[in-house]
Amino acid sequence: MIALVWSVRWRTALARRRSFALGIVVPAAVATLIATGGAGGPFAASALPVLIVGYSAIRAAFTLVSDCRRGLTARVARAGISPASYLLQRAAAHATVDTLQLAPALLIAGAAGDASLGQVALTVGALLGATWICGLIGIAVAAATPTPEEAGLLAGLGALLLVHASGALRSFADGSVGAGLETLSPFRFLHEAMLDMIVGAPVDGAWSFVAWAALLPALVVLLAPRPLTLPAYSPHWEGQD
Amino acid sequence: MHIPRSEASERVVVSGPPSETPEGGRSSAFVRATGVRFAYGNGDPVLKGVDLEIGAGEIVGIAGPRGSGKSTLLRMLAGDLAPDAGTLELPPRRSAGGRTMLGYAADEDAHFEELSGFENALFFARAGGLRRGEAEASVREHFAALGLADQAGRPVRRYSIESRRRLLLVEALVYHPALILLDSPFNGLDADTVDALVHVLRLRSARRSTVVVACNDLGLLPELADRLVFLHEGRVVRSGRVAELLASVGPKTRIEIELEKRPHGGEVRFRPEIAVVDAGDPFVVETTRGQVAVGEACAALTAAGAVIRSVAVRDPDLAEVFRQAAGAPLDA
Repeated sequence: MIALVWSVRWRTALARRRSFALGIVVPAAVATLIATGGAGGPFAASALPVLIVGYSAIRAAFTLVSDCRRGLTARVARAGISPASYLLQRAAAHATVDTLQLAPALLIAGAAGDASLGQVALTVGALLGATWICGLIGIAVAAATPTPEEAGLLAGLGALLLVHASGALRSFADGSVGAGLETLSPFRFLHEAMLDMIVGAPVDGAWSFVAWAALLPALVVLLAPRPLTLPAYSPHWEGQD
Repeated sequence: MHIPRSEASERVVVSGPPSETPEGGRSSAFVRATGVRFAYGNGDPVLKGVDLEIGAGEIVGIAGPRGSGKSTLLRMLAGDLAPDAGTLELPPRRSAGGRTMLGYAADEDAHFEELSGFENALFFARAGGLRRGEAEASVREHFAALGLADQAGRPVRRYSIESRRRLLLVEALVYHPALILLDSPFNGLDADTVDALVHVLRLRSARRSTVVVACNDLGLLPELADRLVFLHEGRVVRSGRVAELLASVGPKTRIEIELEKRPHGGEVRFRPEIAVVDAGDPFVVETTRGQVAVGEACAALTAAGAVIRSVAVRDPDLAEVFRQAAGAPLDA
């Protein structure tokens, strides 16, 4: 029963064959375009985290609010699965499914950059952690957002701002506020691992990455379960019979 | 859309497992609502002081017109809503053995669409605390009972509306919850499935599950329920066993006669067993002689110069019990 939700999420993802395949093919196609398009390595190392984080956070928030609004989360909670367990298992499934779908894009980028196996493995690890964080961000946003569209938009925006803060899109001057934020960004490690894989560069940002990955679940457990199972999300909330 | 739960949740008392009487029969209240009031947001109150006691193993039917508060009351018993005032005593969410105590089916038609019906039901069985083997056996048993066995392997997104409804019921029952709450469970089901569901619920009651069914079908409810509760405008207006309720309106047949032309002055001379209840329009009489008296009443009115437009006859039934208790028809 511990992995019941995780298992259902995985089986659901695999049952949507076309959607699952598109989730692999589209990012891989984008990575191929970037890798073969003559863009510089740093550009590729910036573009891919944006793609990964945006894709993952939007999807996590959108699907969760959809499930809440049609009453599925409330039904699961009533059946006996604690909301915290449900959400964390969901985030775990989200991370592993997204990693499986996005890993081919990373492999293409790594192959184009003549990366070593160790560099690729480190980047895939960073990808797993980043999608886990995106899933949790999606949950936190979904807990406070009434519609799937708004949730997807806000989660994507929030996650992309964090990517921006990671220094993926610009270099911050030493000692600036931006540089300070960069050290705190959860996605700095993904960006740096990507840079290392594509152009070879020292990897930093592991501690903030681990801190986010470990602390966000606690925040989600504290904040998210109640709003997600409140009948406000139930489709017949307005039905007052 | 905010529901202030922090204060209200103090009004929900989660009691321990129900005590059994020494004879092993029905216990005292398994679920108890006392003076429960509730409004959605700042809207008008939906429940205006509901008092209700339901014993372990009892089957209770809640009937009332649309807007009477049936679904809200059920959602409150399911723990979705907390009362604004009054107290609610509910069984714990989980039994000592780790089983989920509540099975609830309303109109939330939410499933894992890509998975098969069997996988969906298995998920809920396992979530409810059954081990894998038990869960599979229970799903198979319920699919057979409710006529879903031939669709077990199909993805739910390909199910018809009726099959989805059946699946929802299976998912609420499959882990053998101690408290079963069903909102309009017979809607959209064919007669065979209704019979099967009634049979399953009776078996559950025999095994001491408590069943609460909100439904407006006064043809079906008496077949299922030990006791009926009539709800009207957020209040319990009458409750009791079917025989008690029918006895409360007496054996009188009510005849309502709409008149094209009123009788001439003076009293209309009816037989002694026909009593005038209302001499207005419609002209209402009651009788202990059943429908035989219809012709006699009409003849008496015609003899007095009245011209009759239409006649409605109401034998003493549960709809009449409701009408008398609520002062309004059930199907309003």
